[in-house]
Amino acid sequence: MIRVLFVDDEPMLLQGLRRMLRSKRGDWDMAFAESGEDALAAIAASPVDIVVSDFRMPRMDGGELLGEVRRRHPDIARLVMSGFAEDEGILRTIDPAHQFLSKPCPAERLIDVVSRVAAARDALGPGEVRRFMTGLSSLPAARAAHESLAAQCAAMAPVSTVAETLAGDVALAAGAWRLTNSGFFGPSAGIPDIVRAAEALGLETLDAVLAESTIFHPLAGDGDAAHWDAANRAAVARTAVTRQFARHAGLAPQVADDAACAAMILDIGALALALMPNGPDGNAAAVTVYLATLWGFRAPIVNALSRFADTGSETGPDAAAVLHVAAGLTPNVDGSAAAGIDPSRLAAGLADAFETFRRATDAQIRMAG
Amino acid sequence: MTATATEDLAALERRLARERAARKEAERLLEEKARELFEVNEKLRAQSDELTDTAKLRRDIMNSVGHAILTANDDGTLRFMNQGAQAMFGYQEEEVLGRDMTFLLPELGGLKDNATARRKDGTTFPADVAISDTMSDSVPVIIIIVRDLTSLIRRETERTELLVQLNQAQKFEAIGTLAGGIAHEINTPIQYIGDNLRFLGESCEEIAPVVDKLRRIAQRAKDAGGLGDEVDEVLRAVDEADLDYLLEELPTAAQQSLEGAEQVARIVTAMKEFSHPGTKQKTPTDLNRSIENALTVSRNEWKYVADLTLALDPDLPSVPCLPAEFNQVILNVVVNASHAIASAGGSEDSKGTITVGSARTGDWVEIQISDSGTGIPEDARDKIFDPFFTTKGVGKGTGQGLSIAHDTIVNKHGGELTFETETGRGTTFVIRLPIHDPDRQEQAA
Repeated sequence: MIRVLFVDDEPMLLQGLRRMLRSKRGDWDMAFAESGEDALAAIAASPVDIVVSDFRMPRMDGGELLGEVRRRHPDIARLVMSGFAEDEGILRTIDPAHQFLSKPCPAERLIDVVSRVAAARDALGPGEVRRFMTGLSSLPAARAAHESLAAQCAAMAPVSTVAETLAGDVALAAGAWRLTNSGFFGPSAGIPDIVRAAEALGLETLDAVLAESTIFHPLAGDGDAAHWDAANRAAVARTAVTRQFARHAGLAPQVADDAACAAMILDIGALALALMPNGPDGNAAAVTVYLATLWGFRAPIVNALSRFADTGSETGPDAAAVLHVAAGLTPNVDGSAAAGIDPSRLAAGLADAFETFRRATDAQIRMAG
Repeated sequence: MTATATEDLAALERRLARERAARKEAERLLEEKARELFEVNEKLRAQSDELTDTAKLRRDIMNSVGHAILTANDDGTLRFMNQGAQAMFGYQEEEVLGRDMTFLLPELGGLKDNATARRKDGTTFPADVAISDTMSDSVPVIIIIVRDLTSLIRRETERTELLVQLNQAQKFEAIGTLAGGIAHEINTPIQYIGDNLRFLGESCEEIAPVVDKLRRIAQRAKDAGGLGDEVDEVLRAVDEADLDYLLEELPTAAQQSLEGAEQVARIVTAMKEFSHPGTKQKTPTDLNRSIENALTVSRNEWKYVADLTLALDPDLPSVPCLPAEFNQVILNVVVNASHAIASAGGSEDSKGTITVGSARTGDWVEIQISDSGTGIPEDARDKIFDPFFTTKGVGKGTGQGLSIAHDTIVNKHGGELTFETETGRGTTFVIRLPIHDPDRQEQAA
């Protein structure tokens, strides 16, 4: 059973949550604390999987509490649930919090978010990898891309230019999406299109985020810059193929957006593993799914990331199937050949679309060659 | 020579000398007089020159004054007008001399601070008129000085307009800050009200079958004649509490309360988003959301007189926009629409309609706000965007709403604000905004 700790300085809110979540009493072991200090004491007394904390609290606010939780217990998933009143405060929760839930948060949403994070934790299983990934506040970006973003935000470049920069770097794109996925800056339900995500955030916000948080930060000097560049090139190529195939197959815009988003962040697991002090030793695909869930990506996107590779089961024309094709057609991060495509993985309509798509792209490649 | 002859000569000589002296004296006198005359002449000429100069200077001053200066006989017949007057009224001097001055200043009954003056082309302008009288050659003369107040009033209006806008901006900023704080305060109780209501609803559904089972057992016990009085008591209590009604109504009551709480949360969010001070520069904005927020916060203005029809294009692209200003425009136009419907007799029994639509047309986003109100009176149509023009009663309108709306859409966004109206049928305001920020394109070019 997972243990969830709710923290709020308003006892009536905690009691309300306890009553409302009564139906989860068989799945969740719930604890409640009325202050940051009480919360830290509760965690010390009995391990916790997920903390859901208010932001504005006397003495120790939600940002400080979650920062402390991350430092002392990096394996705990950290969520903020707060009425968003002052933006400066929110900026301080970006680093320590994985997601931001805005008050009032409907019961369904709270249950959905906590359940998905809990399931992802179970799937990855306890250990060094999960501790490292949960303690990670964000991925570093390629140095050049980070520099461009900072310069463009400071110069108030057109949003489309900034969006282009975000779309060229896995970590920057993931960061921008993460900000819009959860309600850091307003009640948005996830915007898989990077241009719209950049628009929704706005340059002033991005600039403030750059100044006040480390969600966008450059790769450290001893980082493997070549590996990062390769990952970015692979992600951009895969995303482009995803878009082309989705358009070719005539899929709904939402499916295409979700698939393209999944294609872009497919390697966040591999990149995060590369940051581990003892070298990458873990299942990159599983880490990708875990991080995507923790960072609040929409269910269809996480779904596509967890199911695109598994062969043998036929699926409908969803984001997972599109990603299966795109990942199979583009080279991997390490430059190795694409995994290939299992036509039996594709539903009838999509298999035909794939055949015509492959012939068209082959012809293009021959002409280009 | 004889003595006599000598005496005669001497006498002659003396006479000659006397005469010489007399002549000399006469010449001296003459010269003196001539000089005096010359000096007087010179003096006179200098005085005359000076007089001419002064007269010229006076005339120059008279003509360089921007004000109109006119003189008239005491019966009002014009005798003189300076160049300023000719420029101001558009007449040549000879066209007006001898005419009665009231054709220039039709209202000139008594002294007025703000008179209306009429130009040759028939147009009028606000004027400040000063009248005084004097005597010239023992004849009474009226002096009229007219000052054109048009540009002064325009400057004054612009200043007031700016002040009003500034005031409004400050007001909204204050409301935004307040609304943010209130939202934070309200959202916490809303959270636990919602959680508790959900708990109550769910609990009722769980309790209902249990209670039903217990009741049936009690009934069976009664039928079997067991347990006696206690069972009767239980069944009577069930009747008195009207348990069936409670079990039926409780979940509905909880559900409806939950919806109410959600509605409150939506209003609070709309209020906060609507009045958020926002950015000082244009940001891509979801206009549909702005429109919905403006309609939510103004609901009280229109819900008693009008039904609302929304036709918002879900695929509307975001538009570079000053959100706070744009929200203000929508609010102003919607409030105007509801006033127009109220004036046309809209009430709770016979509601009018407000229709709000959005759509993309090429590189523009078009927003239409239609009402089934009175329409705009014909004589007001070319003035509705003028500052401080209002057709509403005292206290109802400041005459600033549409003027600011026009300034916002046209000057600040490079858009268009137009209207179609039909008396007695209603009005449609059309807001058009460019999808690409004109300011930015200029920069790029």
